[in-house]
Amino acid sequence: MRTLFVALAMLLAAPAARAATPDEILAAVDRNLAPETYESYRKLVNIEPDGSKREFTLFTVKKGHDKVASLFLAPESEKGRTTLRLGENMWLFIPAVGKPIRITSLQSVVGGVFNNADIMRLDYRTEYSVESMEDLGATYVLRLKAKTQYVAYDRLTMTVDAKELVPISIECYAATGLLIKTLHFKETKAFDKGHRRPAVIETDSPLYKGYRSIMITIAIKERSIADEVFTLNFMPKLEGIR
Amino acid sequence: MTRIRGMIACAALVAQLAAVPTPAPAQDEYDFSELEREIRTKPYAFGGFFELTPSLAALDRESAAYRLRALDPGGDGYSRRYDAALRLEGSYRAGIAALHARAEGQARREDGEWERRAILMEGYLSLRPSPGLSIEAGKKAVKWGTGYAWNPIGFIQRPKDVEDPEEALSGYTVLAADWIRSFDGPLSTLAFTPVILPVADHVNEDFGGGRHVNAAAKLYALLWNTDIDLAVFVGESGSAGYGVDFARNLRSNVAVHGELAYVTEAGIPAFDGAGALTMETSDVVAALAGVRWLTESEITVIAEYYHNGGGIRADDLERYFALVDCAYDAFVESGDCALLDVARRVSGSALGRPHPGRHYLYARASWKEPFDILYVTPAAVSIVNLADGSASFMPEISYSPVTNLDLRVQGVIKAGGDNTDFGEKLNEWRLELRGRFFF
Repeated sequence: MRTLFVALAMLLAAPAARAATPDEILAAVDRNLAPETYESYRKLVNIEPDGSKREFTLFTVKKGHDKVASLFLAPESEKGRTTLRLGENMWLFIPAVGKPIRITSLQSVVGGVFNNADIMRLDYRTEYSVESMEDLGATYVLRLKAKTQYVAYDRLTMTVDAKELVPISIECYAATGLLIKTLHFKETKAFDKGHRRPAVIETDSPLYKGYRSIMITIAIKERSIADEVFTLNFMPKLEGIR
Repeated sequence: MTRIRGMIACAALVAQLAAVPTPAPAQDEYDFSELEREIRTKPYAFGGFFELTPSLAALDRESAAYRLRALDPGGDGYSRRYDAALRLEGSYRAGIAALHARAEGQARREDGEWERRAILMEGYLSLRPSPGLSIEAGKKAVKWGTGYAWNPIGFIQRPKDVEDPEEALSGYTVLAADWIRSFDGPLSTLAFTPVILPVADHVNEDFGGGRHVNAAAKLYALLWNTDIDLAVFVGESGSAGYGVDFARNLRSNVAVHGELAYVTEAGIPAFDGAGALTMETSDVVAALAGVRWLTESEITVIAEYYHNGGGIRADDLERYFALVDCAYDAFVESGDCALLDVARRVSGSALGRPHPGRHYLYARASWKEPFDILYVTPAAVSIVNLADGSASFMPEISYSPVTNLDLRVQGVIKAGGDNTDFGEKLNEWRLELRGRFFF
């Protein structure tokens, strides 16, 4: 009976979503990827052409539309490293260095295909505007343009599952039109309060032929977090709020 | 429009309902239960690294640094050094309190001699009653300034090793607090950090003798996306310091930073009218301007200009090296080392810093994972004394073959003529291999 209800509801929902504007679809995609304010645990896996892997575990908190902080929990060589993003500003704190240093969004603190902007991603609608949208029936294709020059990728082509309103893939382009990388969203599963979100993002890049990076969301939930957590002075203390 | 929003909400609700009975597909590829075990929180943390660093250096027998040491000229002209270090770091949390410690044991074998030492780099208690307030007491490294290689406003920190500026430094014994507030609008963050730095026997003796108390404070603001710090250091140690710094991203691949410090009663090494090297006391300005730039080919360039108003003038540095030459000649001819002792004392105090001059340029270019080779970073570093044109070049390659193991090969080559800053350094070149295993 429940399965029948779900199938009926989804049939009704699909055309409803299709009637939405591109901006509303992008907003729905953002919320279906993550709550606006949350804490999460993620694992990054860099896979080399010979199959060997390098893994990183991250604790991340996000608040509102422009505040993200991440703490490396593993491996030991990276433990305690903290990254902070406030809008277009990014900093890296390395325990041995003892003070935050400004970094740029295009750099990568972990190596591999993911860069800082991927790890400390803000809502897409915060950084991009929708230039055009194609309705292909089962999917929408949104073409997004960066709102400012501080954004890591100049343009995105986002293919969205029209039923679940979550991305299937995102192609990331430089201002020159060069394809930098493609993100593939997989393994949609239930997280906090049953919200279905993609648990796995796989990345490949023509710039790193044969290499793949995977970001696995282990846990994600809404959480109230003080604004002061998202400051330079708090970066060395982020472990204390786990 | 309201109806459309309602439809989207309905779609999201349906998606949630659908989640309940439907098992997630193909989850056996990722073992989530194992991942969830990994992220469990513990009240304690422990880690560190073990490091081995053998190095070989070719000595410049004509250099002032060599002559000051009056080294045995009968050697083969090479210095072989083997360094080992064990660093331990730990913390324990209980409620709003936490204990932190970082200690290191070091052993060095050089020219047949062993040297060992153990130091507590940091050891302090912190209390954090709220995210916006924390208090710390104990030995702690307080690092201020936005510069990478130098920090003119780092009034209460030990000097960085410019050849390795990201290495941890030992702290001083302090009582410090952090008060943080966040706002909406152009002023996003305001943070105030007052620090009390007592001086007594065996406590913070770098700040002078006797028993007294110094105070320092830093006010940080994130204003219009720009980091701005105002710093002050006052007390009975003699010099007072007042400084300001900033840092800002210009584009997604470019960031700029700078520091400006005004230090009162700073000691400046200088030759007096009688030809003796003395310490003049004067108020000085130190400044730094830098840029961090990531190129399209993933090369990170860090460049900094450093003006050290408290440094020795280029002509006085030249006269000092001439003094060392005279002293060494006297020692060789007569065995009299009195003049050499004077030169050594000056070197140890006034010129003891690795970069005693006034104008320096630091440039570092590192290429992350070139040619798609992951975990390999070649880099080239250069430090130039702009007053006399001498320089130090440091090519290096870092490689992490497996998780938690970092390997680095670094060379140091000096360039500069007689009586120049780098030209008179001890080593013609040095080659160092460092292996660091984290646990």
